[in-house]
Amino acid sequence: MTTKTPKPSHFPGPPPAGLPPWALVALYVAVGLAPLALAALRDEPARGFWHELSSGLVMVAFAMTLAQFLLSGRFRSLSGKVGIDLTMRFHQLAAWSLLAFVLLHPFLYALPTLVADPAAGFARLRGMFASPGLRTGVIAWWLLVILVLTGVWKDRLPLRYELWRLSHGLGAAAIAGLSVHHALSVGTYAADPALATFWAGLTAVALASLVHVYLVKPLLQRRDAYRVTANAPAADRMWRVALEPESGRTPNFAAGQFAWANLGHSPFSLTEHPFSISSAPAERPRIEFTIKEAGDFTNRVGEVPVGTRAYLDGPHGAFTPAGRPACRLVLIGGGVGFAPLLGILRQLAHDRWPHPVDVIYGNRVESQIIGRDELDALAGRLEMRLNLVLSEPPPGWPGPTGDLTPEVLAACLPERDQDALYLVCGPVPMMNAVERGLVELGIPAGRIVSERFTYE
Amino acid sequence: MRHVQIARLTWALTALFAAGAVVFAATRPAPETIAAADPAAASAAFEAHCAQCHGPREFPYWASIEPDPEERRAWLDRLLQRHYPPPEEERALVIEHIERTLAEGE
Repeated sequence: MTTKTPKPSHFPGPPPAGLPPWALVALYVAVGLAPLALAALRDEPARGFWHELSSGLVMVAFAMTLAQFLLSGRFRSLSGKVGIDLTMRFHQLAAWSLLAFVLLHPFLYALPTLVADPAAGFARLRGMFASPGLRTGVIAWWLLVILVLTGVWKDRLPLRYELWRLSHGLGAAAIAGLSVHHALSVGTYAADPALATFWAGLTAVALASLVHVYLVKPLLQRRDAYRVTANAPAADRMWRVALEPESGRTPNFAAGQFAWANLGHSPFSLTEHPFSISSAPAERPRIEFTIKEAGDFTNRVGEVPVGTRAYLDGPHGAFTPAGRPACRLVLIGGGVGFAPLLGILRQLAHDRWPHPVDVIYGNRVESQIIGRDELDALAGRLEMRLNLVLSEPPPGWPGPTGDLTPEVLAACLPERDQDALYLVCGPVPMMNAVERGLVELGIPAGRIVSERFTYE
Repeated sequence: MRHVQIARLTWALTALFAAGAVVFAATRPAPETIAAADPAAASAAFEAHCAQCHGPREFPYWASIEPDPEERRAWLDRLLQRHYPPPEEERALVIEHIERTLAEGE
């Protein structure tokens, strides 16, 4: 059944800051194509199609490589509105494209010779890879291959994440430095002052972003330190960790956003973890995270003592209803993925949200439900329909049972409003199933908001 | 949903950039044939503009920087636009002298 509810209104609170998606894409296209435009203006003796294609592709790839620094730098002014999960996903996917362009670079130079005389072509390739004048470019070429592959397989490497992240950053800086040397020393078009300035400027911006991430940001975090003020069980193997700022200031955030938290380490340490904020902006300066025991660090999160110094990098993320129009909210969460939805519910109750809210919260067993009593209390303060779904329910469980299949979703959502906003957060298989199920139920994809950091 | 859109966007931008590079390559002027220069004039140009600091002993090293003759000509041409640049019309003569000397040494 589909109904139409009139007068959608915006969820209160500031939407995440940042460039609108179209502006970010336009800026990226401009940066990627700028070297081609500058090179095309130069009256350089031409060297044939394949040589020019090789130069063209590698110039685009170098611009993309330098843009990668900004995409991965957690700059809210760039990625705040789009969502840092999407920005990072783009960073990962774009790495394949630029790697392909860079891999082709030497082979396209040798292609005419390879076709005419394969032996001479391979000799030429060997000469290029052995040439002292091309050494910086060759090293950057190999480093890029290593950097992309270790990025793809980082979970399989016998390296701690922090060490991988440091090596990734340093490797990228080395590639930028070597590549700019290669471009300016032997690049066909580098004699053009405008293009040389473009490369030098973009490289400087990229390296400055690294300095910001590894030096400036930790210094700012040290100034705005927090203390753990509470750490208590929230559900089975889940903990509520509350922080309060030493300075009394907590940055404004939108309900549903997340932050990277560093609990008990130096602000210069790379040991930090992304956690959804489960408190409402209205509860500031207190800020609360709900953390599941799910890894090396989080398995011991319950042992973090009250009083521990903490540093936050955030808020980040576009998983929020803030600034979006809706006449109904449907919050669908699974496991600890319900944490940001709890923050949204708390803010809705604080703001006396006048529209209906459907909550579908899936877990395996009852003991995994976060804040059961609070959810009942929130249901009383909002026009809220609470569906607690268990895949392994106890005998006599009154709620829906099973996984969040289209059938369960349909049963929980008798009224499916085209103007409703559907926020989905949970394990990846659950999000995939729910997103597919909602589309099957006729929900427009543009009304479904989700956030994910692991991809299949 | 958005993660599917971002993958499509990435591949679309990749295609756009690749197409940009193809258009760039296809619209460059056709390569010109370098006319054979008078060896004496080429040698004289090198003596006049380069020999004070450089000699034929360095030519093999330059050849190792850019092993491909065609690439090397382009590289030397760019270099000589920045490094003690000889007059425009004599640049090709200097390059011709270097290439001729290298060819004779092989």
